[in-house]
Amino acid sequence: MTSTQPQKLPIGTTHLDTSLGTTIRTFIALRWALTRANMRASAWVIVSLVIGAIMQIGMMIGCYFFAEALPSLSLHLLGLETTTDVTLTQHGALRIASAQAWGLELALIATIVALIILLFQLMFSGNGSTLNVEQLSLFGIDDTRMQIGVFAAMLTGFPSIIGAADLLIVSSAWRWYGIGIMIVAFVCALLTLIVWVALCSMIVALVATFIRSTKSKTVYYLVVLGLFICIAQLPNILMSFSGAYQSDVADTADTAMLSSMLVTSAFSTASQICSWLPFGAAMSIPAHVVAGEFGIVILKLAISCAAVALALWVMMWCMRYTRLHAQGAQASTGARGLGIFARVPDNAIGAVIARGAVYWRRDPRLMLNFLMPVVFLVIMGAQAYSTGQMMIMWMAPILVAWFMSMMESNNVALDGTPFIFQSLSAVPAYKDRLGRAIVNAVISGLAVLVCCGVAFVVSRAWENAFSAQLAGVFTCVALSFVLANAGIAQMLAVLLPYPTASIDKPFASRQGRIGAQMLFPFISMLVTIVVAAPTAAISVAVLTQGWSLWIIGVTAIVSGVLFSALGVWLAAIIMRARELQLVQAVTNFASMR
Amino acid sequence: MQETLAVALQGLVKRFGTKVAVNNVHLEIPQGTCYGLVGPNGAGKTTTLSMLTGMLRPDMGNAYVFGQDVWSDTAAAKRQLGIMPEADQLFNRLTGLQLLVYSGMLRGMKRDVATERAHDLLQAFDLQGDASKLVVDYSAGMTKKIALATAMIHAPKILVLDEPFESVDPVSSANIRDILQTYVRAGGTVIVSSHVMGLVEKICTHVAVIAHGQVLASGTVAQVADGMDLEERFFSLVGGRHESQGFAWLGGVGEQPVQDEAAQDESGFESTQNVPAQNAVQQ
Repeated sequence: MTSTQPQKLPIGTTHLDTSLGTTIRTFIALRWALTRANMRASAWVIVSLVIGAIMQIGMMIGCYFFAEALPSLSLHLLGLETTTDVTLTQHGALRIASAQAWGLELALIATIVALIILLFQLMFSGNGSTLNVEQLSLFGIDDTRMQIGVFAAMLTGFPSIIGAADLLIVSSAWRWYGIGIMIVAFVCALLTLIVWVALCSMIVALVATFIRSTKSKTVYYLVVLGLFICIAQLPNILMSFSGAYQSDVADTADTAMLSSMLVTSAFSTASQICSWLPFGAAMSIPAHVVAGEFGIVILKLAISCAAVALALWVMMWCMRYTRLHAQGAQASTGARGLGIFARVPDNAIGAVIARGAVYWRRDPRLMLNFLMPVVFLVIMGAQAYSTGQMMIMWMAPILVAWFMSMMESNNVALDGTPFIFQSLSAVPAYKDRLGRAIVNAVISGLAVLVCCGVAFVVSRAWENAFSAQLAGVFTCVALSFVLANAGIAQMLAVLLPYPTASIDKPFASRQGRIGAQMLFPFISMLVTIVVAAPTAAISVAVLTQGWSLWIIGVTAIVSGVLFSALGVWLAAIIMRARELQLVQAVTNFASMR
Repeated sequence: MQETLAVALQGLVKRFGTKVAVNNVHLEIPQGTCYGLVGPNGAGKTTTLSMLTGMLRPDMGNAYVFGQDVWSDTAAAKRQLGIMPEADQLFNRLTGLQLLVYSGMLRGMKRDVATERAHDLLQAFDLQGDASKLVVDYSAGMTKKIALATAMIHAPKILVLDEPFESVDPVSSANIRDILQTYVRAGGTVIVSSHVMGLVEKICTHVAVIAHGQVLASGTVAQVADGMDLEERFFSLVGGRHESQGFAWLGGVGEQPVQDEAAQDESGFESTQNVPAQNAVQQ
């Protein structure tokens, strides 16, 4: 056989260039090709990119100021007055101490940031990333090459580049210790990013490998979402409770000093631990270089590298496990028989009510509606406790009423392409909208009533007639919001649908809907203000004229019913007129995913 | 005796930008027939059906269902039609039974009637064992069957089916064919869009060949076939058929692997780590 003539090879022989370098280059090129294609997919993607870019610029500015503030922070951690000249930290024993303080700070913050990123990754787990090893498994690429290639592509994607930029800006603070230390810090920052990407991807791969059935995914999303909300609201809750603490304790210099020492001590312990964990170890390395602790430098480098190697090995193990244990997802069993369909009115409106109720239970995107009432109750409870104004609790049901209509305001997009099923069935628009409004009103109403019950108990509204009357009025106002928003939401849903994640991938973000999701809740809020106007006007009159408070309650309920009816009526008219546009809209939204 | 027309399409035109997807389509579908729409990908079949079913407004032309203009009252037209939804258009968080009953109740049927018919359909489509399972967990074939069932539950006068047998197993396909043929014999009209000529020949009484947005031939199967095999007639109308070229790099002839150390075995074939089994067979 000569090398110039085609060689006869057994069928199935691959003869491509399968070197690792080629694989990596191909995957990186593929990732960027997909990214560019996504950018051209829709105007919403451009909007989201612009918003993301603005946020990122803000983040980078924040990182810059954080880096500038590091010297002052280190003074505080060393127990020195923050007004002390920071240049003192660059001389003598203070140089090493301040470097160690910086290193610990950065390790702690790096670990916290990595855990937040991990939480976001867990939310997006299973929702489809730009490069998916399952999609690539058809090409017969061996596991090692594929995993390294995908990993390299992740490191060169937008999120990694942005993360690297932020870390490098923060690491520029090490310039105080010389250019050499700064360069070491830059290298360590990039190593930290690699560790973050590796460990987060590993955990996501483990989740994707073992959480496969529809039911387990639903529970998983509920847990992760609950965790996310709790963490997001933690500052609010802590501030509220800290306000209570401060109001209980005498504000003395000793107390302030004690508090500061306790915080410093806790910080020191936590940061020491974090500086030895993979997420933050590399960020503390420059401090050890300044201190001449090269043994520790090597140890922490080893920890970081070992973490990356372990993560890659686990990800490859997950691939093999999935391949060897591939099985159909465990089927979920729904209701035996008709379930709720047997208990609703025997007409099209009843059918829409039943279907809506089933989806309230089975749609992970609507789970937020069941978590936020708890969050609002806790926040308002903390506020009430800290200020001593227990009637603040009554804000919770009103906020719940508003919040639970927010997603309903986009119910056509939430339905997605199954909205076309409604259209094919020629169900009258008013029956469809009325059914949806009833479902929303009933479920929201129950949630609001529970919140009102909690508020009644916490605020001890039974103690006197006035507070009991006020409780009754607040309950009426909250229920009026439920009614009004249930109707108005139907109108907004058919007038201003915006892209949303699919029910199968509730946290997917590829379609660039982030811009819309940030803007449209404000529209819902503005509409709520308009809806509340009659009740607000009557309230002013009642309070100034000294009329009975129950007038407010009655007005609120009547107003709620009227707005609800108006909303459903308008929604039906708009839906009839725009039905084909809505069909096109949901089709476009689906193609963006 | 003049046939009653179930569907009449007159001069339908639809453009998407500069592309003319449907170009002056005229079609008459008699009542009590099983009418096949065949054509290559991108011929305009789905676009034509969408305009007929009130899901896509035509740029020009009219569509009539039993003499009534579809676009003067799309809801009334849809009530006479049973349009098979696609898989992603189903409310798949409902069980199979719930979805069918929902489909019936949306169209104004009473719950007990819808339930009884739902059970009949589930049995006919061999889905009674999966009635309590969520549709999201159905296989592709099961999803196709439940989608077809949702189109039939309200006993429409016209069924509009887009690729109804795709992914469906042969036994179920045969059962569905029997159901459709019984339906046609009872006076119903079925419009089937399909790529599968064998299927069209088996179940359809009439056929229309569509390509490039135009109807190239229409009538009974025998009229359209014009003495030829229907598939061959289709190729002659649509064109695009050519001799198989083959590829030099396909079927065991290829280039040397790049950068791979390839060892030659005794048979003279280059063995690579990718095909040890074949090498073993060769030896």
